[in-house]
Amino acid sequence: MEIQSTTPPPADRQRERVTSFHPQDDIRRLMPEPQRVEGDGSPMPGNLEERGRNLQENDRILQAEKPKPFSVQFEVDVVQFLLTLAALGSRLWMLGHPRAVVFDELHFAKFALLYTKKIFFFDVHPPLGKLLLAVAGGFSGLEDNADFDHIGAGYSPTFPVYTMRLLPAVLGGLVVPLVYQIVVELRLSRWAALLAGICVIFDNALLVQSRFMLMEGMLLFFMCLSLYSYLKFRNLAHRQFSVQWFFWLSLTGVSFTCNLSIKYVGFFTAALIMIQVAKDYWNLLGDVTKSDLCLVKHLFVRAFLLLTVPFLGYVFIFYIHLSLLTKAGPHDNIMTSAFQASLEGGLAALTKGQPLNVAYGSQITLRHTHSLSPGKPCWLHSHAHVYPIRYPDGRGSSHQQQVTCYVFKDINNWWIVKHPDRNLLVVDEPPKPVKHGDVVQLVHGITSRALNSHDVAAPLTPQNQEVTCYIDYNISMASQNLWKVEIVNRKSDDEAWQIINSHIRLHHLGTGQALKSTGKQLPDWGFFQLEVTTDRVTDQPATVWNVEEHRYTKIQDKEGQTRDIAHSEMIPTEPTRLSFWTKFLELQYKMFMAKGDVEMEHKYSSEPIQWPFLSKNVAYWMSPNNNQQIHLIGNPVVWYSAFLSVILYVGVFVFYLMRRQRACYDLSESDWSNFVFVGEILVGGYLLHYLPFFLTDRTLFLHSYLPCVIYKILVMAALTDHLYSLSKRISYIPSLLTIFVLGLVTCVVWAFYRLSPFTYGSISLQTEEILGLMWRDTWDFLIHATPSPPPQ
Amino acid sequence: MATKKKSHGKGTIDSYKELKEDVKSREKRTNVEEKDDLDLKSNAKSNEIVKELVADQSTTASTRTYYSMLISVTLLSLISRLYNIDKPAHVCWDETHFGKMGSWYIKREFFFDVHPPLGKMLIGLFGILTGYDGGFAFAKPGDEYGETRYIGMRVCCAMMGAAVVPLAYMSVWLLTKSLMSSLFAALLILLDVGTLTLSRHILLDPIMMFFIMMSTYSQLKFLSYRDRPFSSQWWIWLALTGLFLASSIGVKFVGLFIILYVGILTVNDLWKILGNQTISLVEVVKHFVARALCLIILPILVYIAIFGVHLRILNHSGNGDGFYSSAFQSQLIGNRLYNVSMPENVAFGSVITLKQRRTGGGYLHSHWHLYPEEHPPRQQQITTYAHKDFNNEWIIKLADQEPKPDDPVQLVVSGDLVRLEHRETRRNLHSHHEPAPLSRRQFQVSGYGVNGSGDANDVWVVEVVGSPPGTVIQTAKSRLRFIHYHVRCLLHSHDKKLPKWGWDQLEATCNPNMREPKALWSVEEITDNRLPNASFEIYSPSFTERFTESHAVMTQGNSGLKPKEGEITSRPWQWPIDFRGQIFSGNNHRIYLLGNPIIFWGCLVAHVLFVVYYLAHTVKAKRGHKENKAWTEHKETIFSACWWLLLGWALHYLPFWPMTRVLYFHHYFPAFLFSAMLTGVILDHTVILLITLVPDSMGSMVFHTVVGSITSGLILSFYLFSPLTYGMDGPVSHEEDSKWAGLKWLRSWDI
Repeated sequence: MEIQSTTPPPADRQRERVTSFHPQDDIRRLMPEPQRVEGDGSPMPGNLEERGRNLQENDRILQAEKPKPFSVQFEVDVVQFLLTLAALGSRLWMLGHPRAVVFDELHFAKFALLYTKKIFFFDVHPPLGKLLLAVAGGFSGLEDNADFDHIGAGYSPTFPVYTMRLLPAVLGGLVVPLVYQIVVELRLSRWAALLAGICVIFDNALLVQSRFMLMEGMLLFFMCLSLYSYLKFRNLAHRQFSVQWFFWLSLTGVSFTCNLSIKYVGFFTAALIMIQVAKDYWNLLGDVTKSDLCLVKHLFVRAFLLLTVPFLGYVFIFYIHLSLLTKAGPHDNIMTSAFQASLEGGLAALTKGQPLNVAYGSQITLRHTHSLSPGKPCWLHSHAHVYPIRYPDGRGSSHQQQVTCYVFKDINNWWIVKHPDRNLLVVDEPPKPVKHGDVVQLVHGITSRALNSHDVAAPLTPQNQEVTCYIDYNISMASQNLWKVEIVNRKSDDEAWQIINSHIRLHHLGTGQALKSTGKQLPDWGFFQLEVTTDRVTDQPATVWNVEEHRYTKIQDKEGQTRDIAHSEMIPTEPTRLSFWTKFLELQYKMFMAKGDVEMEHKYSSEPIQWPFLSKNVAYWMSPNNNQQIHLIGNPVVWYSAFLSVILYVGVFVFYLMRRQRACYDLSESDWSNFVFVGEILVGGYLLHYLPFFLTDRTLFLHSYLPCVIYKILVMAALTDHLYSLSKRISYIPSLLTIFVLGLVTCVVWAFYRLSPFTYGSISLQTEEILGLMWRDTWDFLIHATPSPPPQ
Repeated sequence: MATKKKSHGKGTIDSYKELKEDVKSREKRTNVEEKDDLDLKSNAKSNEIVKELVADQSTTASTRTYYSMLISVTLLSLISRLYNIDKPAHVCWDETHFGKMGSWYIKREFFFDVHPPLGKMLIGLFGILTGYDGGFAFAKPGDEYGETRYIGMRVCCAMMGAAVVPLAYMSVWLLTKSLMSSLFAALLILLDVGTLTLSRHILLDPIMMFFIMMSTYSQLKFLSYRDRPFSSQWWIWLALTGLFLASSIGVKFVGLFIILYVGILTVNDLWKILGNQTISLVEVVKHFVARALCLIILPILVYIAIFGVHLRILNHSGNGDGFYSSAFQSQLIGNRLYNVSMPENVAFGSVITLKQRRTGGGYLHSHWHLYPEEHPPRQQQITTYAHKDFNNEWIIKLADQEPKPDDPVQLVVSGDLVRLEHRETRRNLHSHHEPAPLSRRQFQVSGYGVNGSGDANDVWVVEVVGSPPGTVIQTAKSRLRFIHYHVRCLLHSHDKKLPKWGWDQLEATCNPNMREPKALWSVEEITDNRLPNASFEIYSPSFTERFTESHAVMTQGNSGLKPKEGEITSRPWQWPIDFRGQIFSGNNHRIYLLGNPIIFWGCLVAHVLFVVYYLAHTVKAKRGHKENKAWTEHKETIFSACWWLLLGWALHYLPFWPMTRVLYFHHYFPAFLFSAMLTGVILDHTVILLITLVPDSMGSMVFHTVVGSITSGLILSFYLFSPLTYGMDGPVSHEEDSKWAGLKWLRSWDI
């Protein structure tokens, strides 16, 4: 395999060392470099400080050197170059295989398709990743009306599978040089960087996840990019406000945006860096030579580039998202009526030409604005059936006509707004609009009964009041059918009730309770429609309604009526223009709320506690014909050793800390501070990306752990480097350590090789071979069923 | 009361003045020094003077004023807590639970609760001591007590609640050595109507708050003997800390937070000891061992002892039996399993019940209902059911033949092929390659066949886990696995509840994962008159087993307390802002648990002020500002006290955020205690700041005005809101003519 060739065989070490250090940099060659002559590239104990100083000296000398006009300095780190090649090679090999939907490509490819068709869709993750996929697809002619409804479905021949997978694969491949550079910027040796690079290349999970149209490849790239550019920025502290300084700081901010706009977990890396920036700034405060003004400048620049810019970028991406998606589509129902009406087609087509203001005599349908379960809107509904006299639990009802919330459009969803003092149902000339604070009655269109509520416990929510359409049984139970209209999103107190745009709350006069849909399904007597009640707690989203369809009540004189409507204020034939901010905020709200939607157990879902131990895999794809299959499964050697490194690193840290408390300083002050800094960044990053998952209620999959994998691999590199520099103190340990690390790398490559059939899905293994690869009995590979007796 | 306060005020104002004057003179001096860089000697000297002054301030105050204030605060606290304690004479809110449980202790009936037993045992003890006989039912809130002697229990709870105020006073004193801070802290807790309401009823909260404050106080007291390690006082307070920690967690599991708090304080202390180079490592280890003994081993022992007493007292069967295993139940007098004798082995033809061997595991159950259409095939449901029922009975038969009455008795052994016939419906336990209704990855288990004849899919292999094939099955003891012969899956059940059609019973499945560790069953009851009976006593569980089982059941109960769908529950963000209270009692003597809004909102302001002060201080220090040394030292004492109090608050508050179980407003009050203490310190600090800002001549006046207005404001707010706890009558506040309408400051309050 060509990948293995990047691992330098031990015999090549000497040559490797020379090549890895800027062979073409003639200035550096001229300079004395004691620490490099002596070692093999890794820092020696106590040398870091010296080296750091040397590097700075180098810089100073570089600057002090007379500028050479017309000359270009060029340096290549051969190891890094080879690593990048290997990474890209491994990511791009057989990229087009399988030509079928792999796991979540089902969603993402579909979303990309919807972008090209400009159809609005809803997803809980922010749009950047899908946008990028759509762009990649757009360049290669993604116009296909491809329809794939399940994982494993084949793509049509015209579908640009390769190009669309190319982007995540390339970005995922570039993670390797970034990881390499991060280790270098953390002031660790290039050998450690090499180790980290190899582990990333040969980790099956990172490889699989970046080879398909999935988000993690891109996410990891931007995550590493933000970390790398922050470290660059930090190492330029001695050249503040220089161009490079600004460049790396801005790049950090921009990659925050990208991170956050692909998946919200990107926030954790941003938080990690933000904490470090705050700490750096705190140390800057201690520098009394700096003036207050200078410090304010520092603060301002950081706040602007790391907070304001990412925020604006995030909003901008949503701006693109919303301005691209202008047509109504399958997910409209999740959004409010106003949002839907702002899209072409769909509701906009339905409500085109409706009168704008609700007046006495209007016929309306009332939609529950924030549906409790996404995609299930419902409308206020009634029908000529009554509540059962007695419920199974022994409570009684008023036996009046049922009022429910119904999830389909229906003739029974129509209500007429009536003035309490007048019996006429027709609209005045000119129409008298209903305003905020007005009291109305709502008469059900078909049964002509008025919406009513009274002190009877609701069928499913006994702490709420029952809502009925009033039937006069002549039993000293008066009708209580007056409702006060509150426009929730009003700008002034005398605003008129508009269709679609006005969010209203109906307060029951007398009890002060508000009309609400509880979202609970009534049993068979209520035709499984949703319960409607009034609630004492008025200020909650469940009590907000809005008018969706609207027409004025017809009079007998049909022609005159038509003329009326023609003269009344019309909604423009254009779709409703919602400002970007309204749409943006609504989308944010719905994305946030949708997270609370807990999915049931999934076959391949896993718990965070299982992740470090790699006790579960996720099946991504299985060939319908043979045992070719793709799984998300990590390289166990990498995962275990890296996880162990995290624990060891913390252990070593605690050990040093206790020694220091007893005034035993094992490391020089600069070594110690670098050790702590590396720990904060890497172990901190690991924990920040890992621990929050214990608090989430959602169904989780293994791929949520991948950012942690990058961090723990980096920890492993840092730990190895540290142990190596320590081991220099005892003569024979370094070579032992080298042999150990080489052995580890061999194991990594071997494990990768063994598991690669599940990574590339190119080989159909025999049943025994698959069983042989089940190294842990909790792993779940698929085996094509041999003909067996059909199940009963 | 007012006079006392004034006399005290004079006591401190003098020391304030001294401190302030000294601060000013020092500042002048340092200014001079900075300019001229002279006379280091006088600098050191003046520093000493300041130190003396500060020390002087504390010693003079501590002798007389400290104790007089302590006594007056305690008295006030007792008066406020005990005033009209007999009203209302009906059951309020959770008194229905805790009163009931107290009664059960008196009657020694076994019950189940999600909290550990200490709090309820104490309530029971209070009852006995004050002549309550455990006869009252405490059926529901609002029940009239009538002749019941309930006041004793309330008084005892209220006394524990009252102790919180002086404890706060003493704790803050230990932290800051400032009388003003201590007094403010005590006042804030004293005048908070929420704490007052919680303390006046038969609830776990006063007991809980008492133990939390006791733990804090004894830990602080212990730390104050830092310079006299291993002295007798040092040991006493250390051991007391451990004791109260165990008591805290013995009342409610939120006691864990105070354990964490003390743990962090201890680690910090040990860390300092470790850093002290004058202490040898052997000494450090001794320090560590002493703490491990008193704060880890001792609490564990006490905690276990609490459970020992609990299990010893409750030896009669009660309504909690069903939650526990059969072995556990066999220990309860009056339970069906108590002292029974049953056949020891199982034979073909025996009627048995099968219980899943895990906590909360039910009996294998079936009934005359079919799986609904959406979960085909429509065969008879098999579930597990927690309660005893004739539908749990199964007849165990040979797989391939019907038993005849004259067959010789053949014992069932491990590895046998068996059929299980449901006795009531006469259908066989059956499984097949169809997804189970909820766990789609597992297979459906159903009842199949008519009058005992089914098909090949009714065959199960029974295995005794951990024993070779051929082992005889023992009642209750053997751990059994039932393997479906054809499908190769394990009879299993888990926590998932079936919906309505399954009567909320638990789903039973056939699990293809043959390594499932929880798919174990045991034969619980057996009737077979062909077999000889043996006493069940041999299986009685040891104390350790009963202890662990109690915990497993409690954990499960706690995680089961999820809010019902659509129910509006209290969320942690609402608590510090006093967003919504809790109705304790209705009718004509309405009690509403609500924090004193002035105090609650004041606490929030104090938290912000603290952050501002601290930031200002540290940024200044970081930027190299030189300040008077005594003043810096004073501030550092204040800030470190504040940090510890803030930590206490955060530890008792933040963990509620990610919790998914049902939460109530009263969960906030332990955190509130810390918040109030922090506020006391910050108030004091603010007053000092104010005095240093105004010219000398006005110092005394400003001091009196500020302290006077703060105190009177607090008292006024208490006066305003005290009807919330002492009882309100008349119409509720949102009605027009209510005299409480003026108190409804927030729309969300249901006063």
